[in-house]
Amino acid sequence: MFRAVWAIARKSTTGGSRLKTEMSKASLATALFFFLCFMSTLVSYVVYSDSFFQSEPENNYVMLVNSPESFDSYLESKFEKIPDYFETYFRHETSGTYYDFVKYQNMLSRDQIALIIVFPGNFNDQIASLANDSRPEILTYYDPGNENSKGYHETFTKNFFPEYGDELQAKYGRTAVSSDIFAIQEFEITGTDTRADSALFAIHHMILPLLLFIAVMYSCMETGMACVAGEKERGTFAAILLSPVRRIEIVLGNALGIIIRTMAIAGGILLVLLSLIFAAFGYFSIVQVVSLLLLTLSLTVVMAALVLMISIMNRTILAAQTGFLPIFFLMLIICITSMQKQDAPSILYYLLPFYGHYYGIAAVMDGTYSIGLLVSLLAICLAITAALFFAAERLLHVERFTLYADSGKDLARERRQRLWERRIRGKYAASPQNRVYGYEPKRMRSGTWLILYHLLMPVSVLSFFQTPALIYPMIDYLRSGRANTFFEKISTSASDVSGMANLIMRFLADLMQTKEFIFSMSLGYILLIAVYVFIITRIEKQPLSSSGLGLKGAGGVRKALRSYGAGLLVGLAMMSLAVFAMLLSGNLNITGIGIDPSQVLLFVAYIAMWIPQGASEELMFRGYMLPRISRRFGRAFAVFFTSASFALLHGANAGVTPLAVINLVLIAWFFAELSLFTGNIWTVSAAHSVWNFAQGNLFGLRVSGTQNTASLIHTVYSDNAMPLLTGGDFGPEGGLIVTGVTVLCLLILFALRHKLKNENRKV
Amino acid sequence: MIEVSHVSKQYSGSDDVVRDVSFEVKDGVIFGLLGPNGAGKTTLMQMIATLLVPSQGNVLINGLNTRTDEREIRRNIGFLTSEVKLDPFSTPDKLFRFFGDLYGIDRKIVEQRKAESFARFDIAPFAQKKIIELSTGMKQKISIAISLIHNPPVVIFDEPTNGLDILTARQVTDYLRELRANGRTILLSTHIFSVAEDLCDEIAVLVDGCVVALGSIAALKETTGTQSFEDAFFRLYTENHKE
Repeated sequence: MFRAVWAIARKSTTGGSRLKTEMSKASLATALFFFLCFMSTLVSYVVYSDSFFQSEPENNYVMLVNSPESFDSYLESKFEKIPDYFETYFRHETSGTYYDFVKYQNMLSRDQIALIIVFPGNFNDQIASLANDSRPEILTYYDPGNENSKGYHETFTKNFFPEYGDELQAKYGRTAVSSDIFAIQEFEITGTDTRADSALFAIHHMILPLLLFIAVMYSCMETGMACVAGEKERGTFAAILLSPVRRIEIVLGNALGIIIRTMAIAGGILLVLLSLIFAAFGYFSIVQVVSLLLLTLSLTVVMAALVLMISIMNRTILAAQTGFLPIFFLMLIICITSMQKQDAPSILYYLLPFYGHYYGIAAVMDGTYSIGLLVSLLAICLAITAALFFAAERLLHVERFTLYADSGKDLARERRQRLWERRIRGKYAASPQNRVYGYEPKRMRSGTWLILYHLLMPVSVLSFFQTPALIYPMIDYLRSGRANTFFEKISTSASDVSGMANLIMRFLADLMQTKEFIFSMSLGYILLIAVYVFIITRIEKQPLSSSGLGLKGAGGVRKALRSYGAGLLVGLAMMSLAVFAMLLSGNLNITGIGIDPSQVLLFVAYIAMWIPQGASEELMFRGYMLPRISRRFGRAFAVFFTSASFALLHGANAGVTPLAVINLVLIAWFFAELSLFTGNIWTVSAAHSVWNFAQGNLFGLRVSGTQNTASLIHTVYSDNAMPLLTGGDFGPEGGLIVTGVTVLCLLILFALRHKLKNENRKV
Repeated sequence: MIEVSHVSKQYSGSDDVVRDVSFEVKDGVIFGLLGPNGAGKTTLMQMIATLLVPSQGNVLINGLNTRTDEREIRRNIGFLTSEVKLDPFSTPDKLFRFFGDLYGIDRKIVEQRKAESFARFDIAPFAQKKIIELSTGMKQKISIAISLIHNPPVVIFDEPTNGLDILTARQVTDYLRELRANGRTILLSTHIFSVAEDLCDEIAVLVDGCVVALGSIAALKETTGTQSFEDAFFRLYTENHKE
């Protein structure tokens, strides 16, 4: 038995991986790119907020926040012998926030400051109007583990404060007050986060485990995909199946090959990294090396079993690599979540595969790992691997996973497909009004497929192009001081899920207000349009006019421009009508006109965004989806479906109400009818863009729940405004006034269509 | 001895690819499966070679059932089809060793058989070359040599002369005769009539997954009342093909 296993293992270690691994190279590049992105974010964060590159910690400063003049002069009188004492040892700061715990904690824990004394901003007023039971509170922050800090604190609390208190009492003539004139609240902050510690923390908890994960993942995938799936693709797998080896021997042999190759790479990386760390810090034992090797081995074994399963289930390397993607993302998520966890995770995490490996590697490096945990994790991994091997063995008995060519099946399927297409085409050929923009599909799809495709397509494309737009503002945000406050708030609301969700929503809304985000979004929308154009012209091989983007023909460009101009007017007229109605009904007040100079760039960014934004959404729903659904399910359903999915996509925005959804459906319905009426999407694209622009940046209202700050006309809802009419937090699209305007527009459009039809009939 | 009794095969959601096929291949004869493309020849041969499990019916090879004794059967058959390919980056030498290991054959015997078939097919000069560098004919000869590495009593070849030039095709047919002379049972599929007429002792004609004629070529001509084998086949096809 071993001879066959070894033969297969040798084959999959050496020969198998040489073919067609371009895809896995792409995956490696992606993984490394992620790693680089992550590292650069991390480094930028460290550079900004850490004393990582500063030469010496300065820990003999006392920081006085909101210190009243009387205290300053008291201190000056204490240190009159050294006139420049103040400049050297005291720092002044005024702050609006009384409890800025996070900031002071950071300063103390990085040993920049020995003692922080915070006075309330209105200390003098409080003293002047002192009542019996209310006294101003002075906060002190210090590190009891630091002798310097502790000494300062004692001097201040034992000597200075009582003396200063007496002085104050004397000044205000309140010697009769039974207790102290002010209270002192002490905060002990232990500073342990030294520079070497944070560097080691990054190596132990981030760099080493992440690199090992990437190495194991990549190598397993590269070898694993090339072994069974690759052999099926090349047609060499049948010869192995025809030989009298057991299926389990095939599984074990290939797994062994993957493991050997992966361990050669990952183990090599591990040893190199360890020797580098050893050269730099020199601190670990042979037990740690062995534990790390064992952890890497068991990670490799589980991963190899998983990869092998996927490889067995697929016919080609490409298909198998695509199948591996979910695991790749799962690993990414595991790495990121593990990385972010600062305190020790619960024991359960140490016993879970992948999580256990990640934390295990970090814990071994920290020297907090135990043999018991290691053995338990190894046993659990062994059990999981055995189960996976067993499943893989069973899969090799299933014909569809072993057979390389079942032409009979393909032929039958093709015949059925042709018959079915003929039937469907016949059914709809009779009703020419279902042909929108002259679209004619090259091949028929099943109804379920079509619906699912058109439901998922906008969501996935939008989320794909919107997420990257957040990256730059996010990095910018993380580097600014605001991030600290945000994370502090997050950690205090950790137990309150809805509060946390709210915070995150607010955080995202904040990010979306930056001009970087707006510009990136605009770029994203342009790319999105490019993707759709690519799909239409290159993949579906349809003319662009079949998606309502007709330009060709005599005067085509002029016609398109005229349609676009008309759309601008339509959109502006609609929104103006709605705002006018709000003003007339006393729901809205104009507070000013003109744009803040600091907002000009943001304003421009918005204009640059609304144009592709409107065009891309119209292309997605009215240009691409409408004719395709219409050809298969009829025009009426297509209008309904595009409107409903349009509303659903916007239904996730903030402050959405049932009325807002109805309005969105109505507006989408109007746009759909308008595009059908004009026979292109130029008009609706313009109307859509200008509708959003006028709403947000002309009249300063919310656009589907998103607030804009850069607006030409400043408006505010009057105190007695009725949210039912104005839409409240969702913006006018959530109110009855917009309902009225849209219905009016629809009626006008229907009347126009009717008139045109009658005229045509006469001709 | 290969016994095929009432074997049918359908893939999920489609019509039968092979329908109720029965025939018997006696020891020491060459049996031909004849039929147009898509008639089900390959599927039938894959079932006989244990790569597929029949939906209905049984296949017995030397008394062993393909459903239950698949490993033993694999030791007893040599199977060759155009879809079983050789690893393009391996060499004939390495492939012999690899399959020798898979079949669990003693290393010395592997070496001996390798030497024999290298000499028989003039492979020796190419023993260290990568498969990808070799000609179609050479690849086919190596495939044949490797599929018979375990010296099986039953040989199943799917279109063994497909795509070969006359010289190499001749070498292959000569070898098949030699194998028959050594007492092997040979099942082969082809759509080349001259090969079938020259080589086969008995044939079965497959149309749309059914056996429409069974027997020697002479008997076939007699029952259809035609002069040439080609005419006989054509008549059988037009009579039985549906659609």
